[in-house]
Amino acid sequence: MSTGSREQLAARCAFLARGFLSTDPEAVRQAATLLAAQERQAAENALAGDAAELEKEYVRLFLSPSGAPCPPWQSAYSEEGTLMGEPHASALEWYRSKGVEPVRESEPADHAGMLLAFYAHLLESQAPPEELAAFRQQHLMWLRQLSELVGEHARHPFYRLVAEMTRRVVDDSLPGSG
Amino acid sequence: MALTRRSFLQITGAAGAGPVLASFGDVFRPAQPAPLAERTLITACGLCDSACGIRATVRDGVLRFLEGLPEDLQGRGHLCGKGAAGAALLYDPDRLKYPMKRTNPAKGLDEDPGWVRITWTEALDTIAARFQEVLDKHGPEALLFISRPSPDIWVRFLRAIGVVNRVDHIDVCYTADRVVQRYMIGGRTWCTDFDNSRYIVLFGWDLVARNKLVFTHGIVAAKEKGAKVVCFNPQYSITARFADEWHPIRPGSDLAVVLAMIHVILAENLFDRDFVTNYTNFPQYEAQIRQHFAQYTPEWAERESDIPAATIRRIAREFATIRPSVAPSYKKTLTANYANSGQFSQAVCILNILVGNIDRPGGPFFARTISIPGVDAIVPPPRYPTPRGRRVDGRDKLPFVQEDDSGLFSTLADGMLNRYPGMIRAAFINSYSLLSFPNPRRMEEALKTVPFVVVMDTLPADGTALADIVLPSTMYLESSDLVSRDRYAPRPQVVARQPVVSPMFEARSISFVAIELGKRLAPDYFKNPDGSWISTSAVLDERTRRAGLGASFAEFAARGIETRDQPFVPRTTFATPGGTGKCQIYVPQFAERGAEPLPTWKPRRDVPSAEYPYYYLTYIPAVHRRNSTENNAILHEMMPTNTAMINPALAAKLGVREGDLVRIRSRVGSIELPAHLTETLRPDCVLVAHGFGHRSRFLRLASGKGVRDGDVIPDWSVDEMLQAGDWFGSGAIMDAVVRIERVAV
Repeated sequence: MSTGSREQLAARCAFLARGFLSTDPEAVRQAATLLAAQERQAAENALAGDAAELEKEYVRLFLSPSGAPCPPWQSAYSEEGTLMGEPHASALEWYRSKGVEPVRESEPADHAGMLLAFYAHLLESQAPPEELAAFRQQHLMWLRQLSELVGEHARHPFYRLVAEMTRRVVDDSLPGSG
Repeated sequence: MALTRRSFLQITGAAGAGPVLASFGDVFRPAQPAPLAERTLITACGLCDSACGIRATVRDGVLRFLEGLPEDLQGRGHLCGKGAAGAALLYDPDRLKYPMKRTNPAKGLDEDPGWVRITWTEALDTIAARFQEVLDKHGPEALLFISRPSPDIWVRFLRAIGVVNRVDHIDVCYTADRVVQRYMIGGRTWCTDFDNSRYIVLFGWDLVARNKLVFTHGIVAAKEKGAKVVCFNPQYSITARFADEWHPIRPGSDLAVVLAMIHVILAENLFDRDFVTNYTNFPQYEAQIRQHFAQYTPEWAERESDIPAATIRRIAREFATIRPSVAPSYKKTLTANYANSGQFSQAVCILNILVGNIDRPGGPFFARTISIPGVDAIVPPPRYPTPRGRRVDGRDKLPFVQEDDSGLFSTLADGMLNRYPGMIRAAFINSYSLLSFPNPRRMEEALKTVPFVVVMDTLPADGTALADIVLPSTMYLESSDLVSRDRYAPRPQVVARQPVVSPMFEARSISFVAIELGKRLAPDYFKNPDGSWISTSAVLDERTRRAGLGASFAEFAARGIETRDQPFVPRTTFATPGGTGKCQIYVPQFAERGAEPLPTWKPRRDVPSAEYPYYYLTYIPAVHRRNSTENNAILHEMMPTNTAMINPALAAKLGVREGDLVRIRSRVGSIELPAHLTETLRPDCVLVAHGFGHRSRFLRLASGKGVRDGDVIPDWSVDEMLQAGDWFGSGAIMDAVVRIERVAV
């Protein structure tokens, strides 16, 4: 496994995590600084424009009080289709195994942004390949569905970029991780 | 949450944490000690107002399972399907999560509101400022609250700012029943002692399917003991299947059958002479009463109802002689609901009085409850301002409804669009969908005329799309309250409704909103004597103490339920207006103010014509509660959509086959949906389930499924209501007649 690819993947995951969690353009730009030059430029381009549009688009996609087309929680994609299901409990278990837990107690732990941030942490902290593969298998595969929905519904270039990069992160299999 | 140096250090101190995790200090923090083990908590259901006791299993902050509470005398250890599926509502991905405001001023179901998140503080400040501006410029009449009169702290806020226009759905539910019972027997009977009834006559009420467990258990127990159940309904409902006799009555003619039953019982002197002589005003008005009902022969009723005169005569005799007997009229929506529902409620009340069952075993009971003081008893408010201003729904024209503090959904749109156009400058909608209104399209138009709309709810409702500010509401599993139940009179119970989990996301209760808006708009009403702000938890503790339930709410909640065993003493004086202490078969107060002192036959509002030859009926399916559960994953799977149910004979006449798309058209609108052929309905009717056709565009499961049943039901003006002789404010939601056509594809 090349360290470079692992670092790049971690950077992408951390960037996407911030994109799924925040609509503050500065926070997102900050997260983009670790990306490779080309990706970073694409992110900068997608973030150009009216900052307020990012929040509007984010709410429309993920939180709309008229019903949102792309719920960002893994449990919503399970068979039951409701929040706080098995993926929430499993995500919490993963976080705790590394000594952390979500700050927001009243929100599901299986948010796409949290899972990606945690995966970035696993990559960065040199977690063994089996662990990476297990987390990926349990908590990242559904992101393909989410990325498809975001790709379908996003009008803002930033979320089209997020959708595309998320799809690549899920599809890029790690060397040695199966 | 900003990343503080402290949290950064804590995070980096956690095992193996590096720069990535450190940069997510607003998302992750060091893990706290091991989570609590699995535990069970007692709480009260909130899906319907019978509030069955619940035992909730919670693990690590997540609700795992709900089951009935064995000590609960209503649910008797069971929950209905809706109650058992409560976790799917709590954890519905579509729940409203954060306060939001619209950024696109253009309103309409096809406009993108441009929602952005705001803090609760910004939301409350904005609402308070806009309401204050409206109060200053236009007075309290310009504020509209579409909300139930609960909880009491919310009512305190409304009264403190002098609200004139609070409107709820009670007219399409039970206003007429409540008004009539107050005048006739001195109060509303919520509960029926089915367990001890020997003869039960139901007009339309599909109580077995409706799943109010206290009633379902009761009627099943009665039948096991040999009681006879007679059901009048145009539809072969679940209750009809359960009953001994089903009579497919012509829609809107239930009143005729009841009038004829009274005729028979009086003519043959089969009434309970002791009760009628000692506890009613029959002796005083006997001549008028006998003369009035002489006209309503079973032969006459047969022509109106299609029920054979001999059948009516037999049922009347059985009802009067197989005692205890009861004809419950619980809520209009669940019994027959037509423009003549007020007279129907009057007539049913007389039927019960004549068999002497009022507050007697086997009959309708007045509620016995464990008394719990309200917030105004605990922190007495300054004197409330007298509400001054015009009633937008025209309720002031209906004196008996005006006394009953509710409102009229069926005339609200007319009031906003025609009667007082432009009067309403700001509206607050608390947990009501536009689907709840007859002719919701007009209500949509009416709401578009309001410059500032706030919607507070748990799930997206159709009104959300027209809101300026949206507030996420807690649901019952996240709430605290003392629930004093009134459905089982012999043994009153209180259940602690305690939050089984923390509120999801940033959901807050309407009590919280009441206090926060109160602080901003009417601070004197929200202070304790020592000048501190009122707190709901301190009030709840004090209510618990004064009700004798425990030293604090938490202490009572640990035990969860209290039962008071007290001897059941039947009422012998009846608190009717006029002060006679007797039940009023003849209501002189009705006569004094232009209504009929005795129930009088009136036809339904809309009758079949050449253009609209068929009756249009709606019903609430057993698996759903009104219009709030169609997005529930479990219940959605059981019943995802609605259909046009018609009899095969009618289908043949119309050239319609199973699954064909049909158009149902009334004088106000049309809907299209697939036909479902069923022998369970009269061939002159079409039946459509209520609660479908949510328009919120992305409601995950429910949107785009089925149609709104209300789109063909006319709303009306208060003047039309008076012309129809509907003194008691019926919504007349069953009164539509329609044309049915196959849609060419």
